Parts: sequence; C-alpha cells; structure tokens
Amino acid sequence: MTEKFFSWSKLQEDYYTKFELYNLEWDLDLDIFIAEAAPNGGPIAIYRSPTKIVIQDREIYKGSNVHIFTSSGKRIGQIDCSKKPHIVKMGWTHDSRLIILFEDGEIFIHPLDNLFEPEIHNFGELCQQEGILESYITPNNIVVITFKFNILIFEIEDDQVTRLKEIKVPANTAITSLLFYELNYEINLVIGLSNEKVLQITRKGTKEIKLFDSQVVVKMDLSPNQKFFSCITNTGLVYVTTENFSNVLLQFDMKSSVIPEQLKWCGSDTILLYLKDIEKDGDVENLLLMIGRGNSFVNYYYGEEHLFITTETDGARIFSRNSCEFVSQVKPCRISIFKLGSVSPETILFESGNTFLEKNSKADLKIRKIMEDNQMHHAVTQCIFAAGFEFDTNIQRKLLRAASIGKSYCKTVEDSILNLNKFEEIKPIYCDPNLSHIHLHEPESTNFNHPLSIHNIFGQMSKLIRILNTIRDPDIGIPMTLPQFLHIGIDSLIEVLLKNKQYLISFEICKFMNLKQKNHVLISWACALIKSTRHDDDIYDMIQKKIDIELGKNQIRRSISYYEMANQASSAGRKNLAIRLLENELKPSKQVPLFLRMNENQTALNKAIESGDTSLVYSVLLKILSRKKYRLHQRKKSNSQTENLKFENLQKSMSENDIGFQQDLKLFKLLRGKPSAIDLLIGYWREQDHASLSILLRGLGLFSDVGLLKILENFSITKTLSTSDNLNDPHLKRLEEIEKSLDQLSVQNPENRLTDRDVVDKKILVLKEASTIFSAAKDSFHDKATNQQIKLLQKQLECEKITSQKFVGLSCSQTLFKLVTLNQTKRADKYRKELKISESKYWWIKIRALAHVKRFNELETLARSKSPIGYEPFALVCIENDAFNQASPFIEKISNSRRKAELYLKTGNYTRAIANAKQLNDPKFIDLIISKKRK
Amino acid sequence: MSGSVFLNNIQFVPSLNEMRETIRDKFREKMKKITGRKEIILDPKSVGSLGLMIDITIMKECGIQKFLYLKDNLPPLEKYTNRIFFIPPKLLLIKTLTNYLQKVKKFTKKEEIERYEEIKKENHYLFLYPRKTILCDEILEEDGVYDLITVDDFDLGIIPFETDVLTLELDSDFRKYRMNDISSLYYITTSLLNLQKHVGKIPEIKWIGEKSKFVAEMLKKHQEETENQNQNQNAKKSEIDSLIIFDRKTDMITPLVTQINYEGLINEVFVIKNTYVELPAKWLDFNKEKEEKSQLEDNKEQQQPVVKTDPNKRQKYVLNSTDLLFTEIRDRNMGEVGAILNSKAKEISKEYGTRFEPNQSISSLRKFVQKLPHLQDQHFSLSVHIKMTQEILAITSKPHFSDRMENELALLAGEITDANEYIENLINKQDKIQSVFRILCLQSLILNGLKQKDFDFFRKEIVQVYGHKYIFSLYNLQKFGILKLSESKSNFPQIRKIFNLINFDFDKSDDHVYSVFSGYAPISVRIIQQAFEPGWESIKNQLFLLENSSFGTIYNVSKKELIEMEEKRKKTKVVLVFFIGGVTHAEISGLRLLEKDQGNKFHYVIATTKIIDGAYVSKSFIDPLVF
Repeated sequence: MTEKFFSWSKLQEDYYTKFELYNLEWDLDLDIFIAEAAPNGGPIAIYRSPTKIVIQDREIYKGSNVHIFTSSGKRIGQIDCSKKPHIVKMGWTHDSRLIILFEDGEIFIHPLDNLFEPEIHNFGELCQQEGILESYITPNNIVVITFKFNILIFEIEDDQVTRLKEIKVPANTAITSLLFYELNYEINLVIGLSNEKVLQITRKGTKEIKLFDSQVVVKMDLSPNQKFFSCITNTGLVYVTTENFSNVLLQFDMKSSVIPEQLKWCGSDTILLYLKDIEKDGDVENLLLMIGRGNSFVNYYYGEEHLFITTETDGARIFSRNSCEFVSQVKPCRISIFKLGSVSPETILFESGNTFLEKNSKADLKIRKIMEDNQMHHAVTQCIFAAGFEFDTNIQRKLLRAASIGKSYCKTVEDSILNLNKFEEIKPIYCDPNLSHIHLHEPESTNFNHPLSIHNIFGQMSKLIRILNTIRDPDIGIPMTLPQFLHIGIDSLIEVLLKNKQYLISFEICKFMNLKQKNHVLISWACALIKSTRHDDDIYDMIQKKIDIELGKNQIRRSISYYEMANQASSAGRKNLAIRLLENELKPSKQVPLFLRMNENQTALNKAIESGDTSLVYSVLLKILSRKKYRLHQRKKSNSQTENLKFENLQKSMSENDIGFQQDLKLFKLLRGKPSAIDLLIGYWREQDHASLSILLRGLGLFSDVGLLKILENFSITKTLSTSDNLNDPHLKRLEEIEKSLDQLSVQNPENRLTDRDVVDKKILVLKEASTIFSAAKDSFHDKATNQQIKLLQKQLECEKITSQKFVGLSCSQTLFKLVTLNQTKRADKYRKELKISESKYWWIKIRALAHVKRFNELETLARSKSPIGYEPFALVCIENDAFNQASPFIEKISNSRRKAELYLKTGNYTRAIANAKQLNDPKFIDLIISKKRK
Repeated sequence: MSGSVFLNNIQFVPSLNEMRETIRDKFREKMKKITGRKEIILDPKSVGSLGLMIDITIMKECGIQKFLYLKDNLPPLEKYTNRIFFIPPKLLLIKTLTNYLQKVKKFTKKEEIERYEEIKKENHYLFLYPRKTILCDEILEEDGVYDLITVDDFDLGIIPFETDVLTLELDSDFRKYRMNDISSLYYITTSLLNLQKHVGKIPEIKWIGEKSKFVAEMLKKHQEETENQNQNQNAKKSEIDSLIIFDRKTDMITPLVTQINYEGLINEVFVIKNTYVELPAKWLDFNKEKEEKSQLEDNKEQQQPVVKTDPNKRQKYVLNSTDLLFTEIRDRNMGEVGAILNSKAKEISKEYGTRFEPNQSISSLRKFVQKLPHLQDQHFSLSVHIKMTQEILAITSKPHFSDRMENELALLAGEITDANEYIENLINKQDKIQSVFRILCLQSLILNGLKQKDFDFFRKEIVQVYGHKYIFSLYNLQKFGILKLSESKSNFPQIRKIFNLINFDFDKSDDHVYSVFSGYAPISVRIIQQAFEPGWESIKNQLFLLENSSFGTIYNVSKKELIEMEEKRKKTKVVLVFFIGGVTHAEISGLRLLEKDQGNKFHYVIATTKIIDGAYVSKSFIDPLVF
C-alpha cells in the first residue's frame, strides 16, 4: 500500500494528495470557456468566452449557450442565451441554482431541475445607464460596480438591491481585482486598483488597506473558513494575511511577473495558482502551483492543458481537458496507516487484517499483539475513518475489513467504548450536534457527551460510505467528500440529489437511512412527472401506484401531502389532474384554499363543511363573496320596489330587473342543501350586513324572517340616529350611538335630532313594510302582532302628548297600567277596547295598578261591580303591596274556605285563618297554621 | 360522602393538574416573547373562567404589572409599554377594541407622525381565547387597525371546575348549539384531542344524538391523523376507559326543571359562577378571615383598602370539594340538608366541648390544639352553609316557588294535562318573563307541543303583556322546536314508564337519583345509566321514543385490545361523559348518585360546553331583539 504514500506531496509537515476523480470525455479546451462550479462536488457551468477566437467547429464551441456538466463530465443541461446580451458573470447559490448576470444588469437564477423557468431579478435603471464595470458573485450576493463607480449589491435571499456610497477613484484608474464577502453580518468589498491602492468598503465607509506597499494587487481570494485572505501582486508576490489584513502570515516570491489565471484556496490551508506558459526545461508548460505553510510549495506541470480550479471547503477540484481531479490535505488517520515504514497499530491492523482472511497465522498473532498493547480501539477507529476519507472503493473495503476484524476482538462493552478525546482530528466531526442525523438509530448517542461504541461508528460509517459511493458514481457525478457531506448534512444532500433529478437514488437513500424526507422525495418525483408531457391519466395512475406500493394503501396512515402535487399540477395548467390529486389530500386546511384558487367553489365549500372547521367554511364563503364582489345591499332600492309584488313572482321579477340576480342565483345554487353553510352566512350577515341577509332570506323563502328583520330595524330607530339605512347589530348600533352622541356634544347640532313624533312615524313606516311582508307570506300571527304594535305606537304618542310622560317602548299591558296609575282610567278603558285586550286581563291590570299606587278606595269601588276574575286577585294584589288590612274584605268575598284560610294566613290574620280552616275538618291544616303562628 | 370518594382513589386528578400546568406554561412562553413592560386588558365577564386556569400570581410572575378591564375609555398607553388584550372573540369586545385602536391611530395622525412609529413599537397584542375566528380578523381589517395589533389565539382548553367536572365554558353556546352552527363542535373535538394528550387515548367512544355523532366521527378521524404523524411516540396509558358523548337535544326537558339538590338550588337562588358564589360579606365575616384562594378579582380587591361597613357588599365563596361539608351535601335533596347540617353542628360543638374537660394530659391537649384550625374551618363552612340554607328555605317555602315546582312535577308525572291556568296567572301577575317561558317550554316539550288554541293564546298574551320585542323570542323558540304546535301524540308517558322517571315515594335519606329533582330522575342520567348495562343496543326500541336519539359506538383500539383492557381494569370503569350543549348541577349530582346506585362499578367524570340551568337556557333563547 505504500504506492499510495508515494503519490503524496509533502508541504512542510503536511501531506497533500492529488488524484483523478473522473476521466472526462468532454474533451474541452477550457481556455476558450469561462467556467463556474457549484460547491461540494456540484456541477460546472461553462460558456464560450466572447473574447477568445474559436478554432474548433464542434457544436459546443459555437453559439452562446450556457452548458452544465456534472463533475464526471456528463452534460445535464443547457441554457439558451442567444437572445440575451453578453454574460458578465456566473455563480452558484448554496442550493445549486445557477446565477447568470447579464450586461444589462438582469440576473437570472436557474434552478437545476427547472432550467427553463429562471427567477428573474434586475439591478435597475442605474446599472443599465452606467453599465457594469466589474462584478462579483457569491452564493448569496451579486455585486456590481458601474463605470461611474456606483456599487450595487443584490441579496438573493432578501430579493433586494442595496446601494453603497459611491467611491471616489482618480481618473484613469482601473480595477485590477475584486473580492466580496460577508463576515459577521457585515459586507466587505475589497477592491484592488491600478493606482497601487487597495480599498476595503463596508456599510460604514471606505478604508484603505496599506499592507502591500506600492504594488498592484491583481488577484485575491478568501479562504473557505473566512479566516485567511490571499492575494498576488503584479510583481509576483503572494501574500496570505489574516482576514482583517492585520498580520501577514506568508509572503512568497514567485520570481516571475506572469499574472496567474487563477488564484484559489485549496481548503483553508494552502493556495493554488494556475499559471499559463511557464518555461520548464526549455518547454512552455502550464503550471499548477501549490503554496503551503512556511513557503513550502509543489509544482504540478500540465503541459498544454488548460485548467479550471474550484475551491472546496476541504480541498479543490481541478478540471482539465481529460480529467477532474481533487487536491486535498491527507488526514492524519490515513498518514498513520499508509506512511512508509509505519509500525503503528493501525498499520499493523490494516495489513494483517487483509492477510488474516487468507488464513495467515502471523496475522492473528499481530492482532493479538495490538490487543495486548491496548491499542485496538485506536487502531479500529483509525481504519474506520481512513475508509471514510478514501475514494478508492478497493481500499475502502480493505480498511473496513480490517476494522471489522479488529472490532470483533473488542468483546466487552467497556472495551468498545471510545474515548473521543484521543482522536483530535475526528472529534470535530462527531461532536458537531448539527450532524446528529448520522446517529439516527442510536438515540442514546445523540447526547454527544456519551461515549460512542466503535460498533456504532463502524455501522454508521459503512452507511455513509455506501451513500458517498453511490453519488460518486459517474452517472450521478457528485464527488463529495466525507467532511463535505457531514458539513451539509443528509437533508441537504437529498435536496441536491432532487435538484439533479435523481429521484430513485434519493428515495433509496431515504429508505436506507429511514429518513422522514421519503414523502418529500416522492412528491418531488411526482411534481417532475407532472411537468413532463405525459397524459393526465397516466400521471395520476403512476403516482397512485407508486404511493400505494411505497406507503401502503391506507389513506390515512400514509398521509402524504397531495396538496403540493396538486398545486404543481394546477400551476402546470393541468386542472383536471390537480382536482383528482387534491381529492386525496387529507388536510382540509390545505385542500380547501387550492380548490378555491382553482375556482372549484362547490367542492371547496363541500370539503370545508365536511371538515367541521367553521373557520374554514367562513373563509370559503367570504372568499367567494369577495371574489364575486357581492354587494347585495347596493341593490337595495330595486328590491324595496319589488316588495309590493307577490312573493311567488319575486324571484322572477328579480331576474328581470336585476343584473346581479344571476350572481345571487349562483350563490343560492352553491348553498343549496348546505344548511350549516347557510346558517354561517346568515350568522355573518346578521352581524355585518342586514341588507344582504334580507336578500338571502328571501331567496331561501324565509319570508317571516325577512319581516322580522324589518321589525328589528324598527327597534333600532332612536332619536339620535337620523337614518337606519345601514342597519347593523343592535350592539354595534349602541356603540355608534355613543360615538355619535359624543360627536354631537362638541358640534351641538339640534337639527340632526329627531322629535318623538318623527321617531314613531319612522317606526310605523318600517312596521308597515314588515306587515306587508307578513301578510304576503300568510303569517297571520306576526301580521296581527305588527298591526297591533302600529296601533299601540299611535296611542302611545297620544298618551305622551297628554301626560308628557314616556310611553313609547311599553307593552300594551304596561301602557294601560301606566294610564291607570296616572288617573287616566277612562282613556285606558277606551284603549282597552281598541287594542282588543280581554276584559279579564284588563281587570287584572287595573287592580294591580290601583294597588300599586295604593288607591285602595277605587279598588273597593271596583269590587262592587261584578268581577270577571273573581275577588281573589283583589286580595292578592293587596297582599303583594303589603296592604294586609285592605285585603280582608276581598278575602271575605271568596267562597272557598281553604283559599280563604290560606290568604288570611298570608296576611297574618291567624284567628280568621283558623276559623275558616275549622270549617274544613282538616286538623293537619289547622296544625300548620298554628305552627306558623308560633314562629 | 359521595364527593370525597373521587379525591381519594382516582388518579385522574394529577392529569388535570398537568393539563393546567401545560396551559400555564404556554401562557408563560407567550408572555416571554413580549419583552418590556406589560399590562393586560381583560373581559370582566369571562375573567372568572380564565382565572381558574391562569391566576393573578401567574400573570404577575410573567411580568404583567397592570390589570385593566376592556371598556370604552381606556387610558392612553404609557411609553414603552405592551398592551395585551386577553379576551374572548366576541363581537362587542372586538368592536370596543377596534374603537380604541382607531383612536390610537387618529391620535397619532393628529399629533406628530414620529410618535406613530413609537406607538407601533409599543406593541399591542391580542390574544383570543379559546380561539381566533375569521370574523374577528375581518372586523379588525375592515376597521383598518389590523396592522396595529399582533393577533394570536390562546386555547384555554377544558377547564377543570372540580375533580370530576370539566367545562369549556363556551358562552353564547346554547343558542348557537340549537342552530346548524358547527363551530363549537370543531372546538369540542380539538379540546377532546388535547385532553387525550394528558389522559391517554380513550379506547371506546359512545355517542347519542346527531351532534355527538359528528364529534365522535371527527374525533376518530383526527385521532388517526395525529397518530400517524407521531408513530414513534409512546402512547400514554389511558386513564379513561370510555367516553360517552351526549347531545343536549336528546333531553331538553331536564335543564328546564327546577333543581332541588343543594348545589342546584344554590345556583337557582344565588347563581354559581365558575365555582364561586357571591354571598353577603357579613355572612363570611367569621372570627377569622378565611384566606381567599388566589383569584383575580379578589386580589384586586385586597389591594384596595377594604371598607368593612358596607352592608350590601358581596364576597365570593368557593364551592368545591375542598369544602368537605359541601362535598357531603351538594348532591343531596334540599329536604335532607337541614338534618345533616344539624348533626354536623352537634358534632362540632361536641369536639369544641372537649376543650373544657378538666384534667387533660398535655399531649391530648396538644392533639386538640392541632385539630383546632381544622375544626375552625369546619365551623366556618358550617355557619356559611346554615345561612345559605336558611335563605334558600325562605325562598322555597313561598308559594311562588312551591307552585312552580308542583306544576313542573305534576306535568312530568302526568298528574295534570296542562299548566295553562298557572301560566296564565303568571302572565296576569306579570311575573318574570323567564319564568313564563320556562314552564311554557317545559309543557310544550312534555306534551309534544301545545294545542292550537293555547299556542295562539299564549303567544298573543306574551306580546301584549311583555311587549312586541318578544316576538323574536317566540320565533326563536318555535324555530328551535322547544315551543311548538302539537302535531302528534306525545311519547312522554311511555318514556316516563320505561325509564322509570317518576317516583315520589323514594327514601329521601338514602342517596337516590330521584332526589335531585324530588321525585323525577333526569332522562339524561337514565340514558347514561343504561349505556353499558344493559347497553343501548338492547334498549334500542325504547331509546327511539326519544327525540334525536340515534346512537353508536366507535373504537379507537382493536377488539382484542379492548378485551384485554377490560380484563386488566380494576373494579371501577372510568367514564367521561361529555354533554354537548351544557349540563346542569342537578344532572352532575344525579350522575354522582348513580355511581352508588350502580355499586361503584363506574366512575363518571363530567365534561361539558357549559354549566347551565333553566334560567340560562330560557334566557339564552328569549333575549329580546336577537334572532
């Protein structure tokens, strides 16, 4: 295995490895193309540089398309930009969307799975007028500097353009290099100028960096961990400083003034320089120069090949005509295994582990020796992690085999407990709580203070390696490393795969790792299917079949969101498919709004009612009403005209007279057979809009209700309110009244106030309308009651005039009662007849009133004439008013001895009570009276 | 000692505390998110039930410094203060709120514009309990104040009034309940789902009546959905064995009958609100001030200087199972209460008497002294109950009360064919309109409608005597079928016989279901009694005599699991009875007495949308000017 070691380069104490990830068949001369690659093994986008002369006549070299390839060189898409102005720059967002900045300041952001529907943004007028001088794209920001040195920043997430204060640059000064980054929520724009100055611009202002005296900075880059800044000057000096430029950490003289094509970080520990046409042994070759700590460096010569370097968090990818390579630091676990002449326990385990299976007796001895030295955990873990960092599946297998043999020697639980503190380089990976997904099945180890058993680590690492190998396959072409994977997490990986339209693989990974995203993957797949050109029925069947197979047939148990699929189908213009899919959605709160949006009002309403959630029903009703702009009350006038018509003809007449009637008809159709929806709407309008309510009630044939609504209106007519057109809930009315009376206090406008007469007249008018409705509806009880009320109001007005006391608002009985108490008995007698109050009841009223005002003489006079209600009530009203003595003559008039006795008892006249009781021959009754007397 | 049984051997209590804690934690969390000075604005009408879940100490603990009631003229907001409105989503309240907010908006426009920003920063928050409604949002938006306030809801959940009584306290529910409005049903379902989070999945759901069916089916549906979402969650062991959902419409008669059990009568005479009754302060002025439980309003009162001389001052007295004497008599027939109080008084005086025995050893004296506070508590509660009993007896002995009771019972027992004369008399004497409607409706329900002649007569009379505005009440009652025209013969005589509703000769000293109404056993209690023994299925034909009595059972577990549970269960089966549309105190007492009747085989925990009584029912229907 030492051949591995020989391929490594040593930079001071560190080893670096550069190896081929894929042999590319794209056969492209990268010199002619401008390229930009997405991070974490993501795809690479290229387009032909407009400034380069084309000598090839392959299709790809022609035209102005942007082509997208996987790292393995497989073309996965192209974007036609022939109708667009020149491309200024490209970049990638964190979630693998391609950013293209055009000359006119337009920004297209293309999702990988839907290249033809980019998000389009714009830098605006200023940019268009002044033109783009320089630009820089980061995953979240696009920065442009106009020819007039205005700086504009577009933030993708917030979808907004910020303009920084313009900078003052002397005339004839060019920008030689540009760098933009965000650090601690502060934006930093570093500009290298041809006048040998470097400016740092933040929101606070512009600052000059005086670090690289009198040199022009031609290339700059910031390390992926944002801790180090690197740059190269026109004199061939390479600097590495801290991110705040305060300390120069490295100064490297290239002893050449050739300006490198690219200056890129390789991880956060070395920098890579791509230099063209460097003399070597008399030849001219392209050079990849790697500079590490302490000015150590390595030269990689590439002959005539042109390169493209893209930085990764733990290394760099290098694209050339025929290959995609990866450069990175070798992790200590691999060094200790593969280092030449290593005798570390892990090396021994690795070597003997593989001979062990060949039944080599020495191997067993060697392994036992590791056990005896108490080094087995260490050795096993090193092998496991080395496998994780390995790209070669052969070596992965061997490492894991060795680890597997080694761990079987750790028999007891204590044996297998791992002390992570011993493994500095591994610790950060496993102790990051964000990476908890790799412990999905080990609930006890989600606590990172808990020691991990090597069995767990082995199992988890094996799974991770399987996933990594799967996605590294040239067909998928994502050469992700273990640290990259752990950094973005499995959820993001699934997202990346979905963006790459790798639905099957994503689904298998979800199943393999038992992830919750399983449903999400299925939905994404279905959505992609919906976007395809297949027939609606095929799509529906395919989706249903797949879901049945994968999630089971039980509708409720599988609970997948059909809403998202339906939404996709709806926006893809497949309404029928959308409706069919949406039928399967379980959550009404999702289902109903989409039905509404698709104008399926009937279904939406049905589903809302079924759900039992009134809120949802309301929202449907209100949406439908607002969409149709139901303003039923605006047509009030025409309705009041129709009120005189017979009700059987009402609907017909409405359809003739009223344009809005068609709408009403639609509404009634919608509500037919849905009593709960009708009641909700009635409830809503009852509180909000009586005019609309009235129309609805009419439409439902509830004419008595319409009439009662009128009567309600009559009650809301008061002195302070001039009109009752906008009738509302009485409670609201009251509030308005308060408001109005407050207003009136300040204005003092007596003209607004109605007289008592006006109020009654208005009331009568409204009541008459009600009466018409009742009589048309053949509701005789309400009709009679209403007419009586009209009569009563007229009488009460008279009473008020005569007595100057308040009468309006009282009932018939109360009116007569009041008249009697006010000595208006004759008038009361007259009204009694006119209001058709029975004689017996009138007697009751009269005697109660007389007793109330203590006119007992009149009561006696009345008792002399024949009473239709007997004489007991006379006694009762006296007793009620504590006039016990006055009650006695009336009690005497009663014939029933028991009643007599009872009433005497109430007045406290025990002697008379007992005397009457004695006639009854009821000793118990007498006892009762006597017992009461004692009390 | 029927009540105290629940305290001792049912583990249902800790779950209730846990529920309350969860609600409180939720409140704390919501308040934590609002930084800065806080003042809270409450609805005086519903603050009582809120206080049972979140009391003033919790609010203070959450940094609320000021407490105000929502009214028309709220004081202007101080700088840098958060104003938190904690109210139910009632139209009137929301309107008051929007009026206030509009003033805030107007004020900011008139004054300097800069201040507007400030006021926006001094946030207004609106928490609606038990939940938000779209209508509220609409109103806020229509009045143009939606952006001035942060709207959220706060689900108080099901409020434990008692160890065996839970209520949602949905106001205005009763009238809505009669209509096709299903909003409360959805809320009931979610509340039951939440409840199950604390007490575990209820394996068996029995329902009777249309609305119950709706809730039961929704419950099952949502249950499956949530289960599906939390597949790995360990299901809590169910503390409740069975749920019976009872639709009030199946028995409208019982709530209209005058309650004769002690607690029921206290309610009829003094009105019990959220387990509190307001009594004249002098009744409670015992030689030692009984420490009031932390209750919102009381605390407020305590902060003010107490004026002791006001004779009309009323004070709150808690009526729940912490009062042991009350627990003993609450379910009893009023006729029995006097005797029990008498013997209690003797007991206590005997215990007091031991104090004066000479030659006591120091240790026995100490034992006695230790008992003293307990004794004093008992003495205090005894004196309060004696005063209440006196007051109640004074009222019940009057013909006004006894006549009504006699007529109600005579109607129920079929001894009279109608109470027309009595009702006419009530009207002629202009008795309270509620009393008239109450007996009129009872008669209509029992006779399955009034004769045409009587129907017309009473409608005419009510409008003439009480006023035109009552045509709405009449219409509402008619629409809801409570007051109607006779169409067919009444089933009630058969029902009375089959369900053994009437027995005037029961032994009053013994606990018996009849005692809560002095001879009438509530239909609701009778139906629940037969839910398991013999089971509704076996009395199908008899049940169908009742209105709205379709029934069914839904299982949340497999038959096998159910049988297993049945075998494992200790003696008592815990049954949660949910009354949709309210339950009366008498029915609660009736169910407690039923437990004894059934040999403690079942323990009933009662849940409901609201604790109601006849006055509430008739009042909610006859509210004038509402229809």
